[in-house]
Amino acid sequence: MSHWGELPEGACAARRPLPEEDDSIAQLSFAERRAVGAVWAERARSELTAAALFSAVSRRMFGEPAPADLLWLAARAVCDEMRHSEICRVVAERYLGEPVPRLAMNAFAEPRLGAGAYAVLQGSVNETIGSVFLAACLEEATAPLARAALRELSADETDHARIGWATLGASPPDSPARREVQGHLPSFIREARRAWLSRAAELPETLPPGHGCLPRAAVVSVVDRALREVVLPGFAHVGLDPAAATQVLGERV
Amino acid sequence: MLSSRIDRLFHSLVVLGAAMGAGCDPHVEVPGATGGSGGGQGGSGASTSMGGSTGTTSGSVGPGSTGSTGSGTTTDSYAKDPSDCEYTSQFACNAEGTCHCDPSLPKGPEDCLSTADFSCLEYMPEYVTCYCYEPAPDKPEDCDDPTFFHCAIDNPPIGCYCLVPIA
Repeated sequence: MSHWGELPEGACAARRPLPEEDDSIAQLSFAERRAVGAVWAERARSELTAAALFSAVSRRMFGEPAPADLLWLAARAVCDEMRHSEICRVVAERYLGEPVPRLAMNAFAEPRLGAGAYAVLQGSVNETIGSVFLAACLEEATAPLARAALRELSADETDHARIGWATLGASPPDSPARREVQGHLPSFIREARRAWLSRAAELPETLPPGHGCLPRAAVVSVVDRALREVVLPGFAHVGLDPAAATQVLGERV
Repeated sequence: MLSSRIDRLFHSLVVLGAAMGAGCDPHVEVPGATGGSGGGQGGSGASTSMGGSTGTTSGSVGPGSTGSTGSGTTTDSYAKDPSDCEYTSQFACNAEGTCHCDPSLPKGPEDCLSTADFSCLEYMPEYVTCYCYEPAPDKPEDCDDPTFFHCAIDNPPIGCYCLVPIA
């Protein structure tokens, strides 16, 4: 039996209650609240995009043999990201002091990749960068609401990143999926880096500290650290050669 | 600080993720463990069917473990979330799902005799519900087969265990 209205709304999107009081928000100036609120509103949009991407990833994975646990994680990731979008929207409302409407998903272009390579692009690259980014945001955050929201996002992001790494772990050494990933590795890194740095370019140069929002330069630094210290060594760990992809880190965007 | 988190993330995402894809279960049975310390809903929510928390024990480490002070006493203050505790590693839940901050639990790896003994239900994004499990192996030679030696975090070695192969 299906229940209409199960889509989590507001603070109910979080597994654990979000703090109802956060005095640190009121201590910000109007302009600072607007700036932080805008960052969280943009995150809401980004999380919804991630939901759409995982719906495409999981659809393709269901079309090919894949471990049941992986299918479950990939399918669940769609709902996780929808919840994350709602959490970010609620946080944005709290900072902005006004309603932020639920977002509608825009159409997006899917890459011409096999199921495995698509899962690796989304999990091993995008979500792994996202995990490091959220860890950096969580480390920076002191405001209770921001910390609670970031913890919610961060906990699920771990599983989402593992979808990619588990896909590689499940693929035999000379499998088509691995060969496809190896061939596309530089473009995976280039496109992901460009997307993250483009988002960063929209950020202010400074943001009030403690609210889980990194300013532009910090985001650029975290993204490159994620690629250099986790993503590329990760590909080496699973037996792929990241040498060509490493060159991408020096490219100007 | 971010460096240590990145180190943890590499293990949590890449090493365990790839191992799960290869058919390994990251849940580790700890001898002497008793169940009931809440991961999932009662814990920090990261646990999933595919592993969730990194290099975790399958239940809380019970009689065979010692906290940092060894007092075994707990506070009466209820906690809803690990972040309610001064140290998230001291967040503990009972079998009924009631959680509190337990000052007898270690504040961090350095509170154990060896960092390898520091065993948590979760290691990312923060240490949650941790114990000092002194029988934990400190080095590969402590396992029946040195290749079975694994740690949740490699440098320094934290949350170490010997894999138990399933015949």
